[in-house]
Amino acid sequence: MKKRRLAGGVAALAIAIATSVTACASSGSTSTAADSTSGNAINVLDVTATSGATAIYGVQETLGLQAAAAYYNAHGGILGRKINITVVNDNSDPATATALLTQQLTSNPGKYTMVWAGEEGTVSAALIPIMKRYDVFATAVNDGNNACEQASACPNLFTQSGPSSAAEVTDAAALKKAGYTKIGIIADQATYDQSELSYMQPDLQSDGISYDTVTFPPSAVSLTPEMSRLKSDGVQAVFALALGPSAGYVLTARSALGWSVPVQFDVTGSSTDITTLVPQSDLNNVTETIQYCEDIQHNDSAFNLLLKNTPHQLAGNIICPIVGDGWGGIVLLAKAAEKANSLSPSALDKASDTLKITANEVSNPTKCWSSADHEDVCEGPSYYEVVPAGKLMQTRLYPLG
Amino acid sequence: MAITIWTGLVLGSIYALVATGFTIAMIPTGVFNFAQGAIVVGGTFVTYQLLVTSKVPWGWALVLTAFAGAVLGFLCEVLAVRPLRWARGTLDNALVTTVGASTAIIGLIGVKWGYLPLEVPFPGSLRNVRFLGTVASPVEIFTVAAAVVSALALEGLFRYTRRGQASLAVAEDRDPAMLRGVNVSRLSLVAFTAAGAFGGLVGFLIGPITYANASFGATIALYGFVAVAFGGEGSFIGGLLGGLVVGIVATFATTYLGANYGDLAVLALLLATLALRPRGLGGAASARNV
Repeated sequence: MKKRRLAGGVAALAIAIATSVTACASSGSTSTAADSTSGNAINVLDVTATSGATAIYGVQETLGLQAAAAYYNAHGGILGRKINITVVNDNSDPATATALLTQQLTSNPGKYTMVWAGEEGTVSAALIPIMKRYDVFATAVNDGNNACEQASACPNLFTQSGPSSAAEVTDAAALKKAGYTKIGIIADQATYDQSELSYMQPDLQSDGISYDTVTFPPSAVSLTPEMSRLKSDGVQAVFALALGPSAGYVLTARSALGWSVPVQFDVTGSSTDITTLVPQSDLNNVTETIQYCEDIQHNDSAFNLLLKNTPHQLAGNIICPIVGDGWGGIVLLAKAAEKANSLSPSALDKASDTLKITANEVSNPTKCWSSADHEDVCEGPSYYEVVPAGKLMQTRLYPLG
Repeated sequence: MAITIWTGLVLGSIYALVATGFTIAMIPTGVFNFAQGAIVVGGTFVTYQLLVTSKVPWGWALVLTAFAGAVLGFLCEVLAVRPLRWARGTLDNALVTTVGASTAIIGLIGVKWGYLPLEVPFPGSLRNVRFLGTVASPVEIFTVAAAVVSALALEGLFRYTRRGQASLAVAEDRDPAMLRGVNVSRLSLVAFTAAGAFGGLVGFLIGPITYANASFGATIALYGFVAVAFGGEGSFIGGLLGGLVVGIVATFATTYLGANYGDLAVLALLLATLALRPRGLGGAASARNV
């Protein structure tokens, strides 16, 4: 009997631990930075993914938010108030993100000064109507469907990225420069890659490049049939929109088919260190896209310290731009609040409408928004470049090289 | 066409191996351990840790990965299933608690290894083999062979050994089995532990194909579940057939119709099968002396 009670106690304890781990991994919330008991704190709600397919973005963006909050808190806060970040995990699912944001804004009216609206564009797009309804100032990496190009459709969300097609313009230009007139596109069915695909296709058309497209589900573990189809179509190069392991599947399939076709990965491919997924011999004629990222000149800043101490594995080859997006979110809040001398949603929206953040404070050379366009209108194709796989660390302005 | 068939067979074999793990635990307990997919994924990460990080010889890595899987299976039974039996004597909620266990395992994997895929080496040859118009890697051939051999061997084990028949007796009616002296509680623990060990071995085998990828656990659990439903609950051969059919149908639909149609085709097939044969392909009711 005693043994059974002991076992029961151990089981109950373990279940409690497992439950708490589960809660953290699914939809729980955690607070960091300022003392959360302070009623005077500026509360930022970080709706993101710390698990699931796009956790590779969410985890890093959150690190950037937290680093910037720590930096500002160490330097007196924003308008004299410390920043407190609450993280909720959407498990890489837009529906979960929508439910979490609604729950947080409903149960805590007026609490949040700013929302980080999702780890990637698909999630952010799903959250736009909720942020409009609750009138909360927000930022995110991008909007997924270019909705914020029209500020009226996206009145209180300001994206850290520019037109979503900026990277794809660079990709298409690189393919054109290489002289290809017919390429194959292999794209993950995941919503993120599908939105990128929708931007790439018009760019290819305007560059006079024809294309065949094949898609694959996230559950695929081999892309040999899809690559075989592109091979049969006689494409001159393959452009791959592949997130996570599928980047490796593309190259494994190319090798299995004995095909030496050049493969160019879009910027999502760079989120995985492709060189760790396949043998070196499979990396011939492989290029990937990197987002321009520059050193923030505050040498004692949490951002720089963070980058220096962040495991490379955490973010594939693109730690800097993704962490930089999170960092930029807090800088946007600080600059808008400083300009408006207020933390009200309408004042922050109005101040951000004409805000310009110059070099040395964010990882992009310049960030700016306008009253007509709530994407970063300063960002363009020149913020991206295509480099040989595994050489991302050697790009011209990458700070960690 | 041949490439598509082979790719479907490989994918289906992975689902079949997961279905086999489900069935090992399900026969004596009646519980569908949804955490089996997470245990398989855990096996891929343990394999990575042992082979790449710790440089353990592959033979020892195989044993240790099976052991790690066994520990996870054991913990699933003790933490997610046994308390339900104690509390109300029913296991109706075990699906929910094992989903929780699955999430906990994946969460812990994420904490330890992160969410980026990791390359798991294959100890054997890497040279591709060409046959019947397709191309296959040795690890793919091993995976298909393992799915077939394990399903046949376990079907035989459960049908023709005393302990296996005891499991079937429990599956068919729990109370009479207990009256005949079968220790149901111990059998459940052994079954979950064995299923966990099997899951670890599956992780060791499929890691070189799938990479160690935390996001993959829910996917294979879901498709393994469909394979079991399609093949028939409690049948290893049914699970094998279910997995292969699901893999081939999904791959054909994806390749020739587009990625959006893979899941749709599998769902349509499953609904049609269950409408015609509610107990699945291999789950027909039959009287049997045990």
